[in-house]
Amino acid sequence: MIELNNVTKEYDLPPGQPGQLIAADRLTLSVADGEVFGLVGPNGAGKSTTLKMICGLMLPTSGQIKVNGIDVEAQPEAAQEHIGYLADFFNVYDELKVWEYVDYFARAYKLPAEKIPARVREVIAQMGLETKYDANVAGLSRGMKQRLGIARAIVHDPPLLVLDEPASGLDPKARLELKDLLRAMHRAGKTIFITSHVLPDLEEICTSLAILEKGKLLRHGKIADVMRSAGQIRRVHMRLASAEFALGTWLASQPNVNEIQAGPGAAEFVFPGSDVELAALVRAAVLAGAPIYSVEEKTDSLEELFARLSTGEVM
Amino acid sequence: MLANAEVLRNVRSQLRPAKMAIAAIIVGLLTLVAAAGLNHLSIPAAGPSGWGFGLLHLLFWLQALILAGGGGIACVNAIYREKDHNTFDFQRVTRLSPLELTLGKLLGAPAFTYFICLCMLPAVLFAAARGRQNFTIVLAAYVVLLVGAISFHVFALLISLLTVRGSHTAAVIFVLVVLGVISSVPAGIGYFFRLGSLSPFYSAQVAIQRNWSPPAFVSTIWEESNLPSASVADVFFGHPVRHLIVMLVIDLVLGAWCLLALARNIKRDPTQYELYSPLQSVGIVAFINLVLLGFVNWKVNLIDVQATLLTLNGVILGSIGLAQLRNRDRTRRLLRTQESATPSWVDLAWPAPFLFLVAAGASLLVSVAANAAHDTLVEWSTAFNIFRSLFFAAWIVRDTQFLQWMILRRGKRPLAMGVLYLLVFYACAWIVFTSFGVLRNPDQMAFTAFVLPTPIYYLDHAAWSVRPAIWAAAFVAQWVMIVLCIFAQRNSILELARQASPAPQTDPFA
Repeated sequence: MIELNNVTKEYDLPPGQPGQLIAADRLTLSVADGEVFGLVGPNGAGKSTTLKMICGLMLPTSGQIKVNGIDVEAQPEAAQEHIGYLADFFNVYDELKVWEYVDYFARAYKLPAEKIPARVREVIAQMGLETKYDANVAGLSRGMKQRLGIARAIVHDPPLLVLDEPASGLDPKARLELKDLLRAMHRAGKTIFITSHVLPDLEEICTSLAILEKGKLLRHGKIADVMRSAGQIRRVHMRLASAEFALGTWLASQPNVNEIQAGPGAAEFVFPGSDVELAALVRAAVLAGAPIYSVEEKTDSLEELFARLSTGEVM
Repeated sequence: MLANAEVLRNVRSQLRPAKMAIAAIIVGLLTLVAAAGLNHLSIPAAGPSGWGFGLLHLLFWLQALILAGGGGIACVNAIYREKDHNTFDFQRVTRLSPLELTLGKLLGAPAFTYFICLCMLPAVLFAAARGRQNFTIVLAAYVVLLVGAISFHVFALLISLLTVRGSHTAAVIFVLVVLGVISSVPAGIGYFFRLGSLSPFYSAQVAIQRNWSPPAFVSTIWEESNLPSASVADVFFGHPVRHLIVMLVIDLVLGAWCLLALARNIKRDPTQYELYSPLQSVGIVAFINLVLLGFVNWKVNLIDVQATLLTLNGVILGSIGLAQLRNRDRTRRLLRTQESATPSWVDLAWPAPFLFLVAAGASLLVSVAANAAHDTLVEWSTAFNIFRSLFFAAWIVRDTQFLQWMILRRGKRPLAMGVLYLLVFYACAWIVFTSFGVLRNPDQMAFTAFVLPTPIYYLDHAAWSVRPAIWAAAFVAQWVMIVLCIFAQRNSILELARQASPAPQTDPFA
């Protein structure tokens, strides 16, 4: 659905600072149809710039971007037909009513005139704004305006949604609703390209992700692949049915077991061995008399992985 | 018209029933009071000197003010506000074509001013009926009003597109000043041009014509003067032409040029705006010179006519030069996307080669036309004409190249700073030269040509023979300055070329 080929965007740094800022540094990646692709990075990493370039709102300094096989620079309008875009900071037309706002964009996206009223109602209901159908946009709360923005982005039923921080300004309930909405869209076959600072949310809904820092792509691919490629450490948590067995002492005598944190009836340790070796370790513990109640493998969260990557631990 | 989503949005947001009702009541009351007051005057309603005509003139004048002034401000706000509120990008990603979006804003932004004029329509019809005016003339006045206003709106919309954050007030003032200038130029009685008013205020004159012959007096925003009708007849290359048609054609064509620039750029990345392609720029210069040369009054002093034509060409060529400048973003894209590792000499010297050809061509055109309208009282020389054209072109290129260098420098608003430097430079030079009285002194005029372009307009054999070496040195000095600016520009471009990012990033999974 999206192909970036050696895409670079250079800016001038503010006056007084020498050199230039490279918001996108020869980015090459592709997003397949039906994926939920998360773009992660700190402020100023180049996420919004990348999104704007995908939407044809900003031209790259060099490189090529294709959406659904269409060159965004050569045929921006043809590419934009396939895109629903939500910016991170935006305003709505306060002087319009809610239905007029959605209706305007339905017309601007050239939906068939006879289908517009039904589609407007449908999208407004999808966003949970039915009760505000005839209300003035000026009177909506921040969260409602955000939902109205999403309604605008999806009104023409695009196959690709490009969402820049869609959860910003939403309360916890609205955030859950947004996640449900994105999942529903994913199930409906939409491709979603999303940035967010709320990494646990992204981890829940994304199928793939890319980590961007200073315009450079640190990692990208399926979430599991990204985690694995980052040299993920396997941390194992073992619990016993009773505290009589000295688990910490026993573990210390075993090979491949490091960083043991033992407590009464439980222990957590780092185990760099394979799955087969871990199974052998568990069997040995049972044979040694350990009343094992549970063995749980703890993995890094996206947040932890991102923190490690962005501090240069992996680079 | 309402099929255009942008027009419909504007109509919905500006024309709420309550707001429309209040506006209609206010306009209705005011026109009723005016009509009732005039009805009680001792003068008759009918005829050119009756109050019916007076009211008609006033109503059209007010409509022109509301449509052009109010609508112009609405158009200046139209794109700027969208950019300022971060809503413009959402319009840019819709399926509205650039032309549809432009037309939507053009017709939608001044929707409320159109409604006010609609409210005044009953009063106009009443005044026309009481004055026994021919309704086809009233219709013609409305055509003039709409064409004049819409052409001005396109211009205001173009200014809105180009307005950057923090300069909105300046843009509004600029647009209103332009409206004031085009409406106050005593066109038709102009000393140099046999051409009537091009402003929407001309509709007030059309409205009170008794027949289809040229109007008997000229009204401007500032004044109204009685003149013999012969003096306001338009004369195009020696042939009298009907001003109404001329005004409509010129306004429509100028509006179309502005519309072209808008449609080319409205959906573009703002850092990559290019108002016109080089070929289109040549077209604009050719069209404006056709109008200037066609309507110029060669009967007045030939040298003064030529100086006026060159001055106006200087303004046009300066604007075209500004439109051709390449900022740092455009230059970067050019450098990164070209196949060759080093920029070509045309890119390093842009827009000098293009602008020199166009400016020299325009200037030669003026000279050739002046030669054709040869005045035996004026000494004339082909060699001087060519020299003058080359000097004029060099001056245009010099200043544009300076601005091109400025725009490639890093800093806040480098172009605005460049223009400011030029203004200060010319103001200081003018003050100094005027103080010493050297501008019109044939003995010293050549020295001022190093700095100011005006002496070259008046160069003749007598002025040349006093200081031939100084004139030649002034000409060479222009080229030295051009070369210096190009050299500085080249360094800036090469610095940008050196800043290219390092080796391509490798795939972390590879």
